[in-house]
Amino acid sequence: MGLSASRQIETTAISGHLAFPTTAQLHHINLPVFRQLSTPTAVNMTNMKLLSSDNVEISVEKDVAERSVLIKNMLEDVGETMDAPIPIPNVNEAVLRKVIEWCEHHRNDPPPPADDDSDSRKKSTDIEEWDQKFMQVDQEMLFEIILAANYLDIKPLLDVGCKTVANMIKGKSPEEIRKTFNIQNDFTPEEEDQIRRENEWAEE
Amino acid sequence: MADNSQSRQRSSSCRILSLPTEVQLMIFSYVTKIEDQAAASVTCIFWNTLLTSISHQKDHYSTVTFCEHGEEKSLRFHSLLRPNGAWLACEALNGGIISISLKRFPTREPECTCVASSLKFRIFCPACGDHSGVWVLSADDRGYADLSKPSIATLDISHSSLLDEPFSLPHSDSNDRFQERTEQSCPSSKAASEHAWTEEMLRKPPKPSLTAMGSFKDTKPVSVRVYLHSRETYSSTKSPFHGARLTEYEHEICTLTLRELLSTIVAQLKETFIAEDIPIEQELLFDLSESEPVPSWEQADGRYCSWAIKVFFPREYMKDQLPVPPSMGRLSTPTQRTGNRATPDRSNGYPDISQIETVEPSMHIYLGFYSNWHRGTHRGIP
Repeated sequence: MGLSASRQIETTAISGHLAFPTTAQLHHINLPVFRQLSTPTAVNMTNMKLLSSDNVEISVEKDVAERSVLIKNMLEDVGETMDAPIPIPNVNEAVLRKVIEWCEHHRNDPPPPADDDSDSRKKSTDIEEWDQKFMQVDQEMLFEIILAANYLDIKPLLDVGCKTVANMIKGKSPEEIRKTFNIQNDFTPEEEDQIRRENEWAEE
Repeated sequence: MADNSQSRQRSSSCRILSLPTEVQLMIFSYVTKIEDQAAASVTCIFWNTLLTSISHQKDHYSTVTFCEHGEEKSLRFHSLLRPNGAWLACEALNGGIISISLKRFPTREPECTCVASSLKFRIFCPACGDHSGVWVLSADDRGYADLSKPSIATLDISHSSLLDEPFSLPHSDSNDRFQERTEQSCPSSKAASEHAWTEEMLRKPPKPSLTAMGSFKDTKPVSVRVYLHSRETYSSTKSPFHGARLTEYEHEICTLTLRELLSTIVAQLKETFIAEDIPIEQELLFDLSESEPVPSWEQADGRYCSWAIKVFFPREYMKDQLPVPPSMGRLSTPTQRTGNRATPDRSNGYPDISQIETVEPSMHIYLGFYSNWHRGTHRGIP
């Protein structure tokens, strides 16, 4: 019904007889579509569904979901008619909910600048308080969030995740880094000695 | 529960290394300090590869293999010092810094190549009875002087506006003594000195090499900021030199002022930058404050000490010209970055560094010297 009403309005506008729907036409338009047409902000309040890798449907507002460039592009490609849940095969429910939580909090953030490589990264690894708390999860979840952000193309979230990991590396000795991330030392003693010697001058 | 956490830990350990490479690189792009990069690169082979071959360090450093005293060695150099690959060394004798050398290693030679050339500035210490002065020496300790390079002959710091006073040329007896010493230490240097470094040349006032920078006037200038942090590299235990302030030497014994020392270094850097077509400004900024106690030269007797000099470029330059990843640039002030170290000496005539925006060190220079106080004549004074 909504679709047909939209088409009707479109047809009317194209025909050139009327620029806007007549009152009679509006009576035939169902309310949600009418709201979409009349209030742009309300358009973004539309809910949509995401399907996690473990087959859980999660309802999310469209503008929140569109923090993901992947989803945004997908919606633009398929148009407004996508009622079926969008499958997110690489992200499970728990991680997807975390990602959505982040997107909801940052829904009004300005879009990241196109050339963010030049400046934003120079602004150190400072993470805003809310994001710091958000990232206080176990490492598995942290890396899952990073992977999800990478997959869903949510650059600001990816940045926050990478900064969080970078902060976990900073100020640590190689042994501490290994311990933190449970990384196996696969150097031979000779190789390790050589690298240490090369880096000796740089160490505090 | 313990099992769970262990399994989770095991799982997460796999995860960081199994993150896509580009993500790991992005993580390292936020690890801006060279110390942290160095620590991470020792963690595992994969990260070592990432950090040394793919990430920043590829752009910033190159490893040069060379042969010294029959022993094969390799050093990592900043890419700005390529293709010659160089390092700075500062020698101290009798409580005074007598030479600063920019050693160069050929990179296009076969794997094991002996040091082919080096630049050396002889700086005689009045405390030792020598005349204070700076002049260019053709030969390094091993006598492999490359006199054919005009840059060696023209490189001179005596006309640098960075210095308080221009250096005077050494007396001829100093020259003789120096030549004698050089010939003793390296047999082939005699031929080298006969070739070009005649008495006449030594007396000839060195050309002001900085005028050569005139060609860069039209280019965008960049200021170089040098931070000095002392650290000992050849001892596992902390020496009295650890954390020492060079400024103290300036006041106590060293007749070469810190400014002169740094100016010398910067002059050498400039020469390198010129070779690399990187315009730089003559302005030198540095932060010398350290909280640790400062030893005397005598305390440092017989020790090899070194400093890592961090060179900072302005953000605009990093952004526009330096071929480095943006991650190297972390906008911060020295105070924010180094805490108690950032107390600029405003009496030295240099701008207040805390007022200038910089990025993270974009270059590290290794400066070392060997203090042989005990062998000198400082105590007795000739």
